[in-house]
Order: sequence, then C-alpha cells, then structure tokens
Amino acid sequence: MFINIGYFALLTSLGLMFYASLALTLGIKYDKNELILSAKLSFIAKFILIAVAFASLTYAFIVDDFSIQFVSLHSSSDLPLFYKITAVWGGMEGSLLLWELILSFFIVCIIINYHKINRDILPYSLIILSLISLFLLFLLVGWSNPLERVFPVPPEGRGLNPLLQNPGMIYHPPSLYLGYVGFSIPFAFAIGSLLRGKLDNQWILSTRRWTLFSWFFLTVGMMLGGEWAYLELGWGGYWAWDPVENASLMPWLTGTAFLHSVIVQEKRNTLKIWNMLLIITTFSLTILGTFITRSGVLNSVHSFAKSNIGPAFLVFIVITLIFTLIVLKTRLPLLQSQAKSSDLMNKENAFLINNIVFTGMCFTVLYGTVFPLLAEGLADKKISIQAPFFNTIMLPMGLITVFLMGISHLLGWRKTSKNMLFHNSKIPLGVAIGLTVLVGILLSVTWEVVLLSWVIVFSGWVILSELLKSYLPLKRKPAELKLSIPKEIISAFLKNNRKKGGLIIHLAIIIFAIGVSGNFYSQETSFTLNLDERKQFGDYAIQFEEVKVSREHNTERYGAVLKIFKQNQQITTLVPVKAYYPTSPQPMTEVAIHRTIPEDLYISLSSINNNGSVTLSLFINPLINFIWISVVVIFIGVIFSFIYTPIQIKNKKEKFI
Amino acid sequence: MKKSNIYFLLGIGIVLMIFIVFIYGIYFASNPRDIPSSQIGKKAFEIHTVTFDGQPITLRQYLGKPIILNFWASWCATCWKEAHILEAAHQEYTPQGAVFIGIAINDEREASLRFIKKYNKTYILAPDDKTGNISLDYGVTAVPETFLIDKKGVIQNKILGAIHDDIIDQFLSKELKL
Amino acid sequence: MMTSFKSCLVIFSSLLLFSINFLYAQSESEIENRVRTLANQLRCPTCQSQSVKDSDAGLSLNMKIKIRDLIQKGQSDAEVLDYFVKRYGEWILRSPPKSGFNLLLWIMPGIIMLIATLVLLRSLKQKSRTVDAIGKPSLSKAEDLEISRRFNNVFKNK
Repeated sequence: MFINIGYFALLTSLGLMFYASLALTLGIKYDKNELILSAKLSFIAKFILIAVAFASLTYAFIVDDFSIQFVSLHSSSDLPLFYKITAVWGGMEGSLLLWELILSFFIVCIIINYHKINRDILPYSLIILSLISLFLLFLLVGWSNPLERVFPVPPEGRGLNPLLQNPGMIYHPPSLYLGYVGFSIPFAFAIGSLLRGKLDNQWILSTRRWTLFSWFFLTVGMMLGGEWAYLELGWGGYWAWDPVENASLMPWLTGTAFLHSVIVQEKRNTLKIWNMLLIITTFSLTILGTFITRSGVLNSVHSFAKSNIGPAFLVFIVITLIFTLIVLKTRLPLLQSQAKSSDLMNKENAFLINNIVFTGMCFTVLYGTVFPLLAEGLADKKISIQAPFFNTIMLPMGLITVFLMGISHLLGWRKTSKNMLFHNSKIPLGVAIGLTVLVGILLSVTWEVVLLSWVIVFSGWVILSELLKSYLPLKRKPAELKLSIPKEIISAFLKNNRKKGGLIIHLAIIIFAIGVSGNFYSQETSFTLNLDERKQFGDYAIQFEEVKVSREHNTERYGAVLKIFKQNQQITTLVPVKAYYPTSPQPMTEVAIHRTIPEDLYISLSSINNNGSVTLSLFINPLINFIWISVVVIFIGVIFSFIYTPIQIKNKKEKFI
Repeated sequence: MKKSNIYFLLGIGIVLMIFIVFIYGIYFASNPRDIPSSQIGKKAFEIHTVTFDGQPITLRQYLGKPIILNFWASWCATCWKEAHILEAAHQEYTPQGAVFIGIAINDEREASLRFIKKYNKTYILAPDDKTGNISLDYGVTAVPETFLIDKKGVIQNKILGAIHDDIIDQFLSKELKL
Repeated sequence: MMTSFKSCLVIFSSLLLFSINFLYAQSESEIENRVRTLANQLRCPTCQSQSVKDSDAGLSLNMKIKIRDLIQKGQSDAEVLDYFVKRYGEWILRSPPKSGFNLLLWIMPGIIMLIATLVLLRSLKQKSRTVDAIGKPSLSKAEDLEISRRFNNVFKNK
C-alpha cells in the first residue's frame, strides 16, 4: 500500500515538474508573477512527494518487502537493520532516488533563501533545475524504477554486496551525492544568468557558498571513500586510480579550478567565459561520473551494479553540453571582459596557471581513463592504465599545484613588486632549499621525494607564516599591545575570514601532501606464523595467539589474534578477520590497524592454513593519518570561508529587507 | 571565420568525440574483463609434467595431432559444468586422433583426484607444477580456459570460460580432415 | 617574537623531514623489494583492479614466485617484465610501455598543458599591449622604486 503511494508520488512529481518548467517559461515570457510563484510552490510540493517516495522505499527495506524487485536484489532478512536502511542507496535505482531527494531539497533551499534577492535570475535557473529534475524523474518512473514489483515474489532477498556492509555506507555515498548535486546549483545559476542576459558577477556571488558546500562534500566524500577502501580492501592503500574513483576526482578538479577562478572574476572582472565553461564542465562531469559508474563501460572495482541506463546518461550529457555551448555562444558579446593591465607576476596569473594545471590534471584523468577504449578502437589492442601511469603523470602536476599554492600567497593582485616578492620568499625558499639539499646529500632518496619535500616545506612555510600573521595582532605598537592582547586577538580572529578560510584549507592540503609523501616510505611484507610464533617487522614483533571464530548478524568471522610488541613491550592486540557472508563465496577481509600519528601498522589476514598457521600481509604506512587529519582542517577552513559574505550581497540584502 | 566560431566548433567537436568514444565503449568494444590471448597464431609453449597416474608428458610427443588443452581446478564452479562436455568430446574424438589434456592449476592433489573420480574423466590429466609454470606460460587469466592447438603445434584459439561442444566439433572436424 | 617563532618553525620542519627519512629509509632485503616493485607493475588477471603485488589470488601468488625465480636467475627488471608481456600481452602491464600508439597516451597531457600555457601567454601579451595603447601604462620605474623604498622603510621600523 505504502509502496503504491510512493510510486504515485513519483508520478505526481513528474507531472509537477512538467508543470513547473512550463509555468516558468510562460511566466517569464508574459511576465506573470503568479505563474512563477505557482512553479515555486510546485517545487516545494515535489520535495515533499519525493520524501514520501523515499520513505516508502526505506519502509519496504525495513519490513523486508521482497515483492519490490530493488529490495529483493539488494537486501535480505538476515541483514542488520542499519544496513537495511543504507541498502536503500546500495544500488542504482535507490541512489537515483536519493539524488533526486537531495536535488529537491536544494531547490527548496534556494527558493526560500533567494525569496528576496536574485529575483531576476532565479526563474531562469529554476527552469534548468526543473529540467534536470525531469530527467531524473523520467528514469525513476521508467527505466530504473526503485519501486517496481517482481512476480513471483521471492521468499528471500539476494542480500547486500558484502563490500557495502560497512559503516562507510552511511556517509561516503551520501556525501558524494551532496557534492555532485550541489554543483547543479551554481550550474543552474550560470545558465540562468546566460539565459537572462544578465552577466555581471551576481551568479558567482550568490552561489559562492553552494560551490564551497559542494566542493567540501565532494572532498570529504572522496576522502571517506579512501578511508573505506583502506579498511576494507586490505592492500594497505586508499586510492587506486580506479575508473570510478577517477570519475569522482574529475569534477573535483574542475570544481577546484572554478573555486579559484571565480575569485579572479570577482576581483578583476575577467575570465567570464572561462568560468562559465568551468562550471558547465564540472556539472557535466558529475553526470559523467554516474555514467561511468553505472554503465560498466570501464573495468572497475565498483562496477558491481551494471545497468542499462548508461546511454540515457550519455545522451543527457551531450544534450546539456551542446545546449549550454549554444547559449554561451549567443551571449558571447556580453561576456567580453575589459582588458586590464597585467603584469606577469601577480595573483591572477598564479590563479590562471593553477587553472591550467587543474584542468590539465582533469584532462589527464579523463584521457587515461578512456584511453583503453581508444587503444581498442584505433589500434585494436587491449592495454591497462592503472596506478603506475597516473602516479607518474599526476605527481609532477601535483607538485606544481602545491608550489603555486605557496607562491600565490606572496603575490598581490594586478602587480607585485619584485623586491617585495623577493623579500617575502627568500626565507621560505632558503629554508626549503637548505633542508632539501641536506636531505638529498645525507640520505639517498629519489628525486620525487626531494621535490615533494621541497614544495611541502616551501608552501607549508609560506602558508603557516601568513596564517599566523593574520592571527597575531600587528606589531606596530608593542606598548599598547600588552594591555589589549585578548581583545586584539579576538578581533584578529574574526577579521578577514575569507583569507583565513583559504589559508586554512591550503594548510590542510599541505597536511594532506605530507600524508601522501608517506607513501614513499611505506614498508610491506608478508609471512606465515605458526601458533605462538613471533616474527619481526620493522620495529614491531608480531606473535600469533589463536584463531577466534564468532558469529555476528549474518556473518561468520575467523579472526587471527595477534599480540603486537614493540621493544619487548606488548603495545596492543590486533585481530584481522576473514568474514564469510551468506551471499558471497569469497570471504571479505577486515584489516586490523594499530594507529599512531607517525605511522599505522596495518595487518590483513591473507589465509588461515590447514595446519593451523596464518598467512598475513603487513604494512607500515607512515604519515597516513595526516590525510585523515587534513579532512578535519578542511572542515575548519570551509567554516571560515562560509562565514564570509561578499560585500555586494550584503548591500543587496539590506536594500531588500 | 570568426575566432569565436572556431572555439565554438572546437567545443562541439570535443563533445562529439567524447560521445563517440563512449558509444563505442558501450556498444562495440569487447567486455573490459575479457583478456585476449597474445599467443594465438604462435607456437605453443612446451609442457613438462607428470600425469596423475604417473606418466610423464610433453606436447612434442603429440606433434601431428590436434590438441585440446584445458586448464581447470576442482574449486571452480564453471569447470564442473564443462566437465562432461570435455569427457564426451574425448570419447568421440580421441579415437579419431585428437588429444585432450587437462591441467589442474592451483589445486590440491587430493581435491583434483576427487574431481576426476566424480566426473569420470579419462583423458590425459595432470597437475600444473608447484609454481604454476604451465599456466603462466600460457597466459592463463582464470579457469577454465581452453587452448586449441593444431597439428603443427600452433595455438589457433583460446576460449575463456566454459567450452561449448560445437567449438570443439568445428575445430577438430577441420583439423582431422586435413 | 616573530624571529623566535620563525626559528621554531625551522626546527619543526627540519625535525619532521629528518625523522621521516631516518625512520623509514632503512633497507629491507634487496630481492624482496625488487619483487614487490615488479609485482606492482603487473596487473592481476583474476582480480583486475588490483596489482599482482596486492592480490592474494592463486595466479598472483604464482606470478610473485616466478618473479623471485627470474630475479634469482639474474634477470634484469626489463627482462622479467618482458617474460610476462610475452605470455600475457601488453595488457599485463599496469602502465603501458612508451612506444607506438601508446605514445599518444603519454605525450598528450604535456601537449595540452603546453598549448594552454602558450595561449595564456599570448593573451596576456595582447592584453598588456592594448593597455599600453590606451595609455594606461603599468607602474613606471620611479613608482617602482618608490614602492620598494617605502616597503623597505616598513621593514626597517620593525
């Protein structure tokens, strides 16, 4: 019954979106405010309906209603309740519904938020959003209907893919979706302002927070995905350059480029066309990501759920791109930016180079991901393009970005005096060169490590000192300073949030880069241990105690109990596990990690042998926790950036309220 | 042509190129999981092993006869499915001069023997050596995998997954006629 | 205050770098390292998104043994990789060799970046030319000097 309501809600939403796009178009054409208002109301109603549909699907999962095909394929009655709920987005159809739910929610947010401002662009943007919504709803009521019935009703579901039975399921996919869907808002505003022919910086200023928001969730989503892979896949790494990972990285790269280049437009009123292109690309890449994930066109760890809606996504991307390019072309005369004096050494050029590098990286990732298809089509041979290729190409580009990140903080807008630049950069340059030479001479390390530590020290130095400068009260008046330190610190703390946010996020990237550099020092080995045998690995001694068998929910778990010693002191007990799920003949590995800030001791159980011994794979991953720490720092930085309201928007609000 | 037009056409061109690549990928490219053998048309690697009943074998001793070389394992479900196909083909074609060889890879000897008994396999069956040299030589990616080797010892084809009897029929009727 | 802070930073960053290097730049058995490096360049045929190194599949284990064997027989890295390419085809390499059609893969990112940089430089030059033509020059030599003089004063006062 509830399911029928859900399906009916989806159908009604489809109708509402037809109405909304029509009402908006007519409302704009004949300047009828009531029509536009009714369209806005239909968006709100649609959100409620989609929420109902989502609730009905969740309900079906909770009560094990296997008459729903989607439920029978992705759940089973022995699944713990938590995973029954997360299984809602464990497959294509449910994720699309989640996508549509998030999109509907975002649309309601902007309708309420921009009730007073953005009146001119909003209707146009809403047309774009209603079209995106229509596309998703078409898929949801037709090709990939999550509420479709199956007959005869299977007595038991097929169960959830064991890889997805991980707490990561609650945050990794939703936060990626928040990021993906979030980018449709700046996209809609960009196209909206193109359609409206109002091409000042308004769309950029009003969607700045959306961009930041989406960027943040995309970043966090990817990092959580990395952490998940680290815990679940058992090979000691967190990023494999898998096609699906690449698919989420591509919009992140162009999104990051966009985040920077809009600042140039805001400050210097240039790069207008470029920004349009970037947001169009970013949006298309979010759709392309879904296409790559779901079409099974490329070989991937994630391609567990192939479906036939790949072509629909592809057609949608092509239509979107061609439509937006045509709109962009017709508005081209309005987008010409005035030529302004530029010196070669200034912030905007650093941003431009940053943009080139980021789009270059995005191109490389896309190109490397689809090149096997080209090789098969044009040269008739099958080749593999995996981590070693991407690492080789992406490392130098990454180095350039980290270096630019540092140097851009030393450059001013428009023009930078060479003296100034020299003065500001000589200390960090000297420190970085000195250290690197020392490291290079004393220890035989590869050139990658030398360069990487060089840029990390250089940019880290610049960013840290800039950050501290912005917190410490000015030095000028030492006498007064002593009296009023708390007040000055507080005011310094609250001032200039935008700059601070940027600096903190950049600091997080430095921390992240330190974490990545740990890769070059990682150690690994594998060995077999008999009962009570002890073997040495790095500073650790590992002693095998017993095999512990247990049942948890639907799994049967075989854990190897290992005592870990360091300098003859027992520091901890680790239990790597092989877990058998009823649905999969292959056992899943659950790794055990001894985490400390400097390094992780990471153990995965390869096999339990017939004679009672266990074979283990062991890794020491130095500095890896810096990567997870950087997530927290990014969060803090984004909060700072969020607090800042562009001055133009502030003024506008006052005018309207 | 105006500069903006050139850029516009360039943009459309890029979009169409991406479109074509993916359309090719969806409808025309092979399954990304299937790996073609690089050895088709090349001379088959020599094999040195001892069968489960203690006979040393090499490919050289069968020169002049077409060989069906099958890689299998007792733990592979698809191998159960094709077991009777291979045995039936062996019964039919070995008297006519074909050779059937099954190499068990990554398998325990006892498990292999149980498997042979259960499916009444009677053709030449041998384990791979301890470190899997035979399967590495043939570039085996998964079990079962079957190589069709002609009278001259050249690999004519590789079949990934369970074999069909008509593939064997086709190959052997052609080879045995010559 | 600023100086002492800076020296703290120096000490901190150098400590960081050195500790990393001393802690981890220790050598393990030479052969095992080579086995791992080589196994990392090969794709596992069974579990195709992993390298042979990271995989516990039977074939990958055999491959690792084979690599160790070949190294112990005194073969070079290139010869070991060649052994596998001969049997499995180019597909087995996780990073395609830089020859023939694959060159398109390796050089394209560089070419694109180069073109983008050239276009950027050209447009920047054009911009500054138009500006000069309108008569809004960038800062003159005297202005430049003035800026750096003031700037130096600020720092002297500190």
